[in-house]
Amino acid sequence: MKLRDFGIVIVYITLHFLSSGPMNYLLFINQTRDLFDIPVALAIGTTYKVIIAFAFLKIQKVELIYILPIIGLALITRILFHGPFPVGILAEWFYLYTRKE
Amino acid sequence: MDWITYKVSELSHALATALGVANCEFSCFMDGCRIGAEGKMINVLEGCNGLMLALVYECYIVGSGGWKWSSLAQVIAGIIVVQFFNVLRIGMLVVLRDLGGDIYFFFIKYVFNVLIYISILFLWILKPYVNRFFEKPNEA
Repeated sequence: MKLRDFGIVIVYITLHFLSSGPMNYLLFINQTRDLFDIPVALAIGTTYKVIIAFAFLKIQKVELIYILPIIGLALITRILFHGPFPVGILAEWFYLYTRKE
Repeated sequence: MDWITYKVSELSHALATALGVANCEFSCFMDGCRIGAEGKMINVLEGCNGLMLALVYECYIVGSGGWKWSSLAQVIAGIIVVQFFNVLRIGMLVVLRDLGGDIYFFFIKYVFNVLIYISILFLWILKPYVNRFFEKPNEA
């Protein structure tokens, strides 16, 4: 893997987690562990994470026809199976990346 | 609570004790385990057991490589690495919580998450080399 791509991955993950801190703080002040108790924050946080993922894939020159299913699958991983959203994005991106190489 | 969460919590407690957390307590309830000194305990829930992370890692390995012996070896190695990092993460968090200050929140939200995700990416990068290692005897 090129150093540039690895750097972009780290930036993407860091930007992703920048939203997790405030979300956890909001959960704490609302005295809940369920994100659905703070729907507005959940919607804003999810939109931010999707935009970051979209930008990451676009910078990595992934075609739009792949970007939408990648984000869709990662969201399914997150919502249905409580899996990690960025790892879902990275798995699908890395599969395309290794094929291209 | 499931067996994996219990075992991860138990090992993390042992690590925290070994790292010098005084009076480190360990108790489990229906919703998860609590580890740490009185008043500074951390809550280990089912989402903290690293299982989902390991599953996504394995999906990539099996999905891109198929059902092979090399995939099986990588899946087993991956589970061990992910759980090793997870126990290390929770054990260190107990220590940081015991030390006090805001650094605990910085580590729980950023440092450990970035590290564990990068370690998974690193394992994926190693995949072709592991495949090559397993394929060599067949070619000879």
